[in-house]
Amino acid sequence: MQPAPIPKNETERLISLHKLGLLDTKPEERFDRITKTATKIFGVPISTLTLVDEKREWFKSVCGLDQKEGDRAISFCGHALLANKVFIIPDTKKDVRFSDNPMVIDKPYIRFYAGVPIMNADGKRIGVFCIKDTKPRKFSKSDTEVLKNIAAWAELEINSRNLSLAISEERKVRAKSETQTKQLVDAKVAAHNVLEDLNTEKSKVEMAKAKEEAILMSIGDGLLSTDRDGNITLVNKSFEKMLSWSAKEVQGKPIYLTVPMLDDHGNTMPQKNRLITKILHGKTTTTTTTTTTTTTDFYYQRKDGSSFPVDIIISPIIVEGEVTGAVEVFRDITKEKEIDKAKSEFISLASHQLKTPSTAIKLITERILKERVGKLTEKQREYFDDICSASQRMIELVNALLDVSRIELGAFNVTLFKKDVCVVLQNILYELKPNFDKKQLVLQETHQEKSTVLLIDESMLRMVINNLVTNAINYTPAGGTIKIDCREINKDQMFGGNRLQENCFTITITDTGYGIPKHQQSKLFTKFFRADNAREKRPDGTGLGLYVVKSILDNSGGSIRFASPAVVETMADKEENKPARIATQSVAGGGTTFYVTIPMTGMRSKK
Amino acid sequence: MTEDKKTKILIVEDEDIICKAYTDELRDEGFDMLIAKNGQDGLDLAIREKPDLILLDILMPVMDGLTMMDKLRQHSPYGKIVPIILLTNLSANEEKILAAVTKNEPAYYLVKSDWDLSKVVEKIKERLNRP
Repeated sequence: MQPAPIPKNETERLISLHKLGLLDTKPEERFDRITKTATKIFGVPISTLTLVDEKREWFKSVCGLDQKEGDRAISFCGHALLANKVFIIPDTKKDVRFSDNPMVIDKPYIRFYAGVPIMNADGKRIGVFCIKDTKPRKFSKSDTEVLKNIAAWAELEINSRNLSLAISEERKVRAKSETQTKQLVDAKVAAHNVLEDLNTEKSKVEMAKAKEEAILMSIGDGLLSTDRDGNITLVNKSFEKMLSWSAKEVQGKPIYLTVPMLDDHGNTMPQKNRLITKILHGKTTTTTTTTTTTTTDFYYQRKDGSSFPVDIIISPIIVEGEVTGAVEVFRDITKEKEIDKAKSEFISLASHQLKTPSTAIKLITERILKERVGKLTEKQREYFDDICSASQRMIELVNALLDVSRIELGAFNVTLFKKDVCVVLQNILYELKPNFDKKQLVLQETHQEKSTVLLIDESMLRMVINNLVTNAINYTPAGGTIKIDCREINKDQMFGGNRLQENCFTITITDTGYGIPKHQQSKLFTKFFRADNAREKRPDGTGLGLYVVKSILDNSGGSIRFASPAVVETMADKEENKPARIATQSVAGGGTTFYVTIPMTGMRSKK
Repeated sequence: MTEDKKTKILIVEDEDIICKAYTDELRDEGFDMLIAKNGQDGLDLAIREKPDLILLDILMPVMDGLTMMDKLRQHSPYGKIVPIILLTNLSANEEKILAAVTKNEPAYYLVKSDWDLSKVVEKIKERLNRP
């Protein structure tokens, strides 16, 4: 027996067969109809539509046999599968390939076989349509044609299913692709929308940026920024206007050369002294500012060499902890300075004019009191005394105004002489003795040193001590105590809550007075400022005393600080969540301490 | 100072009341008083009458005190040595005045409002008694 041969393209053939999806499916009428028809036409007992897989011949439709399948090796169809068009064995017993075939020598005793290979739609042979008989037959040409036609029918039926499958598959694919296309279109639309949104956002951001830039450019103050080397990276319109440089001209150029800074005397400031240098070299981390109240003024020089006084604020630009540049805002303060000067001049002239009548009153009154022009009655003497002290007060007020205007005009010269500070202090206290007695105040003096000779401007120091002690007297209720402590304190020691930068002569003046309300403490040294409680107790104060004191000390190397226990009390009260203001009012009255220092090297002129 | 010849003091002051107060007080003290209301009049009077001492205001119309002092000092040997006491309220110009005082020895500088009449008189007497 010759086993059924295996075709060369067996793998592809099997794939094609399995793809068909007919193997091991239930019998179908549309195929059974064909096998039945074949048995009737040819008058044979058996007809099958056989699919040949790896091991088996499996009958999709079978007529005349009980089997569903058989062994491929011994099958007739296995042979017919490879046949050119039709495979015919008229008598199996006479064919060596089949004479000993089990199906020939045993049931179902096949003697005749005729089969036509069935192709799948892709041209692969997947099976055979055959008829079988138990007796030998002659098979004519027309028989062959009929068989081929019936096989073609079967093939059509197989492929029709295949086709319809393919069509439905195609439909699915198409539907899927349509969905995909739709999705793609949707995605495209979405993407387009996103893009549009992005563009809108982008233009919004651009608008915002342009707006910000416009804002920056239009700031009324001059603005510039530099890189870490001090080269100009940005300037605004006000910069251009104030310095008469155009942005293009200064871009990328060092600020030191482009915008020279001048001092009070019109000298160009060296690069190392400029604020921006300190900022860029990280020597100052906080914002640096110069104000009109400082005695040293800064000027910026324009392109044409002229200059104007400026108020400058510079901050470092810090990116990830590194100083990458500086941003500076500056303001032309010519007007402010002019106004300040005019104001000071006005005060000075007005002071003179105001002092003259007061002086006249004082001189004439003095003559009357001396009874140069006749005897006075008791009442007359009392009234003239009043006139004299009122005019004296007027002179003092005007003097205070004059001091202020002198300070502000810069006509503030420290004239230094070697003097014993303790003696100066003693003299002032001696002069003020009547004021102490009038209010029954206790004066407690402690002097660590018997005498300390320093380079001082006596009149200035007198103004300082006189103002502070007079304040203590004025704002301490009758029967209170005023303590004055003088001592030398060395550098790095603490004094008044502050570490001293150099060896100092210190004066501490402590009273048991009304104190300073917490919320007004920050304004204490401000010109014309008077604390609410001070105003209440003495409506006639000038509000200039402490301003003068601070200005003198600031301008002569000294310092002044103060403590009013209200601070401590207020903080304690804050913890109990009481409103600070109420707390302040309730504790104002805890007295005040002023801490004054004068360098042991003496007072010094700021010039 | 002799009995028959009174010490002559010239006061140059534009403020009538102040001028009157000083004049009256100093007359009471026995001085012979000359009065001028501005620097120019004061200069003329000083040159003509040669007072023993001059009380000089600074801020005045026509010619101010400092200018008058300068002119007098340059005018004659008398003008160079006559003691001058400057009366002023102008502490704002202290530096300028001090410079003038130093340049124009013998001159003193007084601040009107800070001084009582009696103190000024004391100062004048002290100045006149100096050899």
